Amino acid sequence: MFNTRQTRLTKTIVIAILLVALVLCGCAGKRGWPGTVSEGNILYVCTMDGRVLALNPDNGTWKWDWKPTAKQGGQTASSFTCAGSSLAGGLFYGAPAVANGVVYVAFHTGKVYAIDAASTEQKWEQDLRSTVSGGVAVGNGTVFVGSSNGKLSALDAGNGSLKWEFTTENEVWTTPVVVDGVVYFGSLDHNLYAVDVETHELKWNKPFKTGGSVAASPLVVDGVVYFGSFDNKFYAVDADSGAQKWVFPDAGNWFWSQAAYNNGTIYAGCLDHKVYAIDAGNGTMVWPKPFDAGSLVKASPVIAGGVLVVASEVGKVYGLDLKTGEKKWEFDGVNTKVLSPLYAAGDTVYINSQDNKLYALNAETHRQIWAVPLSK
Amino acid sequence: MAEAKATKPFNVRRFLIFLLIGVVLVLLIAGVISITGVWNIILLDPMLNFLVLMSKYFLGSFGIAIIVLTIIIRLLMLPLTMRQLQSSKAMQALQPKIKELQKKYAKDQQKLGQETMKLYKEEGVNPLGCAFPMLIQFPIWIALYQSVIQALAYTPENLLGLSKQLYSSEVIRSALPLNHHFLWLDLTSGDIFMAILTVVSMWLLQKMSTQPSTDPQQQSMNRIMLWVMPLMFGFFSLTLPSGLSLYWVASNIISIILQYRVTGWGTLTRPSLSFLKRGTPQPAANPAAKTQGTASVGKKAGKSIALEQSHAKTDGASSEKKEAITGDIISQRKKGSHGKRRGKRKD
Repeated sequence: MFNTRQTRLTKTIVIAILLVALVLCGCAGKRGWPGTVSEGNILYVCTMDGRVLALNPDNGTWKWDWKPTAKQGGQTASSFTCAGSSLAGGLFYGAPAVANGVVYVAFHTGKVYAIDAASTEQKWEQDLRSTVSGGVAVGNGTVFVGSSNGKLSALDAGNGSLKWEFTTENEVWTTPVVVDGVVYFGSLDHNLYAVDVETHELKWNKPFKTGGSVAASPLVVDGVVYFGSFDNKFYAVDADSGAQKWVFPDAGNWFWSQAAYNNGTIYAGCLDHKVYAIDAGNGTMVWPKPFDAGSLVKASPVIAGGVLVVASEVGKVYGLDLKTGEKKWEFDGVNTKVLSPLYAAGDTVYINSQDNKLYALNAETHRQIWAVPLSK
Repeated sequence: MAEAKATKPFNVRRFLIFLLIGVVLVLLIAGVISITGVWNIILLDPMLNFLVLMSKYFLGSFGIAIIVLTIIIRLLMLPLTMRQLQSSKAMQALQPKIKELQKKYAKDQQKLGQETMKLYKEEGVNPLGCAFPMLIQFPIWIALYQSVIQALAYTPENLLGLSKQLYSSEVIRSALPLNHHFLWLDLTSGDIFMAILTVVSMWLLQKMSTQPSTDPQQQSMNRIMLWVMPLMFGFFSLTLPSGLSLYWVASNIISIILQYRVTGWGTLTRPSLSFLKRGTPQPAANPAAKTQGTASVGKKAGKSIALEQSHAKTDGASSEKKEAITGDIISQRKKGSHGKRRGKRKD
């Protein structure tokens, strides 16, 4: 009697605990971190539910709303893994790119689309057949996208056809950056690459090797490439030769966001909860001490209204003095996570939050201009 | 009695355990730490970081790291596992006697409970003896499972979450993300072959560990469990990352080995075959006889033998045959568990 009950009880406990563990651990759902850009007087926003919106930057009203048809896009991941089967076209891990009135977006599913900003008609689509965990870049008539098959794909901006590919030894999660006919991007194989857009070959003798994966997008200013790595270090590399200019070694966690630049100073957010101001010339700390944001800083910082605007993972937004790093203001109107890159246009900062809202904040007065939900 | 208490030696280990539990409880109540924080600090983070570290040094292979960590954790828990298996076996050995009590006191549940507990006490068997070691092992299994799935970090969000749990060592931090490829497997996606291996290994383990029962309800439940668990995990193996299947298969194989060491093939052996081997016509009595021969948990060996003899009488088997079995058991006890198994096979 006792044994039978005990056996049943034990087995029930085993099954229940395993199932709970499976649900809790296996359901580490993907949500993405979609971004925002603007061209002319229109904001183009990728949303958490897999759509692209055009908004009026003055009041946040929608101009148009685009999503791929069910046949074209769709979430490829199994709904059993809690990936979010209700998504219109999949997830975004970056901002759209806009050039000559065309909006380019890459879904996590590997589908890349070009949308006419005036008519909202889809110009083309291309399936990379590999997941995309970064944003897109456009330059020299070419759209650049990195994917998990380790390739940087160069697509014709006019028709979406594949022009060429550059293969690395691991997944490419960075949003590439195109400057002066060279595309810069990092790979999880620990390297930073600079590839000539015309020749499709590495510009340097060899890629720049770091001690960890490179998932942060590089920042190119005055012939120097600035970027952080998963080895807890921040690097400055000569854009022409690929030689290291300096390294900032004092961070306590990974760098996973693009840095900002202003007047000879690099501002880099880090997953160690800190924001560092580094002298662009010699790699030394500019502020007496780094700013402590309280939780990890994944969203790329921006400069607007004469202040450095940073957002922490828990949704706190700070305005910092560019020279001293002192907190000038704090905005706590975003009550959810912020992981998407911040976007600045004039004095206004746009913040995509993880509850699928877009906030417009005046960086000078630190007042919220508007906030709109990005889902219907 | 009071004197005995006064002269009881001071148990340092017990004192330290209580002190640790007390400190943790005080910190929890004071809000200094959270349950999640305690879980992460004590179990998950060390296991996770060790797994990442091993991945870096075992040929950069996350697959090998999963297998090695599973083996290490199972070895560390070996005393608990063995205690659980042996307690389970001892309980199984008492079943015939408990059945007798159930028949005898069918109309008096209170008396039945008292007599059952009395029997346990006499035989030196703790009825919860197999439950406690299992309960202690649960958190470790779950932490191991969590560390495998978190170290896989197959989405950017997973990797971001993982960054919070890694130690600040550059060696560990620079190892990520881990190499997801092992043999033919992409450890981040499901695999049909691993699903088959999971089903087969889990079925074998279930079959070996299922206690034979004459109760039709229990038999029916055993049959369901025999198939439901393996098929359920087979489905998980198809849909969840195969890194988890690798952990399940490695863990099942270790469990099968341990189960074999303690109870042999269990119900995996055909009843007719065990009849020929062990010389008893009652399938339900076989495990009891074998358990008597191999278990070392019963404190009072003499009483166990007496129990077996009385059970033999109630079963109606010839007294000579039963005496031969008990004699065999006594000699086997002297030889040790290996000798016991070999001795039986010779019979």
